[in-house]
Amino acid sequence: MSEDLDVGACDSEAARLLPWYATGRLGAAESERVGRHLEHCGICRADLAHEQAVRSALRADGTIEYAPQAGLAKTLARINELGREPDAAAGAPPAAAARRAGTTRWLAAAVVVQAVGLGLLGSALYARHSPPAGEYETLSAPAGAAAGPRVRTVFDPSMPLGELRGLLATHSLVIVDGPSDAGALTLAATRPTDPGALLAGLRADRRVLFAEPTGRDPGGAR
Amino acid sequence: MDFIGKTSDGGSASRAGNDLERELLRRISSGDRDAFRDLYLRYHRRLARFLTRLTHRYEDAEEVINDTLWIVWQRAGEFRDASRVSTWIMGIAYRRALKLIRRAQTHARAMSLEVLDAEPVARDAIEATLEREVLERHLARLPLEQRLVLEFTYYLDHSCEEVAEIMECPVNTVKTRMFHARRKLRILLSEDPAAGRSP
Repeated sequence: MSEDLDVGACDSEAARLLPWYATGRLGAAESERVGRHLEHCGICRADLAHEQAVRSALRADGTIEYAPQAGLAKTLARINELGREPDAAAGAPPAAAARRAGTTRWLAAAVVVQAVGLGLLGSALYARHSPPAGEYETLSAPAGAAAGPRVRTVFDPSMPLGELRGLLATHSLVIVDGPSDAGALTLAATRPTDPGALLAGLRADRRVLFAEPTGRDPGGAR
Repeated sequence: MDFIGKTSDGGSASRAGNDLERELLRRISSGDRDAFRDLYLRYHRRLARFLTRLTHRYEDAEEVINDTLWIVWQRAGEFRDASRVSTWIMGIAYRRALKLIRRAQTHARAMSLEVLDAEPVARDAIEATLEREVLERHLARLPLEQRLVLEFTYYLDHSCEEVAEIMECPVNTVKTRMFHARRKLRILLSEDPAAGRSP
């Protein structure tokens, strides 16, 4: 690349592959091509030496040592919390409640997005079905309009509200509970559907970070 | 002729590492927390340094690491052998980091200029440290996508095809980004008297 990477006189493809030749991450054919080129190209040999120096500098050990234990503990706590909710949330001791109050900005953002979504979707459902005054649904009550399987989900916190609504509509889902402390929403299908297919569909969507059956419906998703 | 003196067992060590990580993923998919702990510790070091360099804040790097490994916990069962485990995990980390960096891009840029201007390279530092810090200062001035191609290639040792998979772009785009990254880095280093020795 000497003199501004001018590869006009070189095998330009070989010159572009030099970084991966330097790291030994080329396939056999490409590696052979670059090797042959280097035999008669002094410019690329100099460039290769430069790239190796850049790589060495980048990989040189720094003086900073990172302590992974705190992050590991936080992530394991997040996993454990998701695994035992929502029952644990109801009877949480003060210490646990205090710890939850300090959960990450990620969860806070998720709660905000999902709470707004819950409000709007709830309003839309209310307008559509107009239940008599005083009636409301709890998790222990019959599902009503939500006749299909239930799943617990966590969405990407940066997901726009419009996309959340679109995703729910695509899978014929409504929000029946949440968000929990960990930002999880409980969804229910509005029509009978194959639980496995529903879970697979949700998990295939990159914006869905977590999707598991609730275990509360007899034919629930697995 | 071999111009780089490759070690003959590099490929088999890499394959053994991938096999081990594949087994860890299999155990994680069945809820094994010990396997998750092992995988977390394996990835924390390489992700921490690379991400801290990108974000300039260890707190941000750790947020990305924890989000990444949490997603790995959720989706371990979806991993397919078409990729190396490290490529799959780096792809997740890349998308999480990109979101965080773009969210805080203005702040990160200000931090990078402020910190680097305020802390000139120590002249009596050992040579290796001097080189690395000079290089990192100039890396921070490259466009994000170009810097990431350099990091994935030189620091994390991914092939061109793997970088394309991680960044979800064509292989040719990776080569072009690397070409421009090398050219800009060469210009920046040539204009810096502190980089007189190498690289």
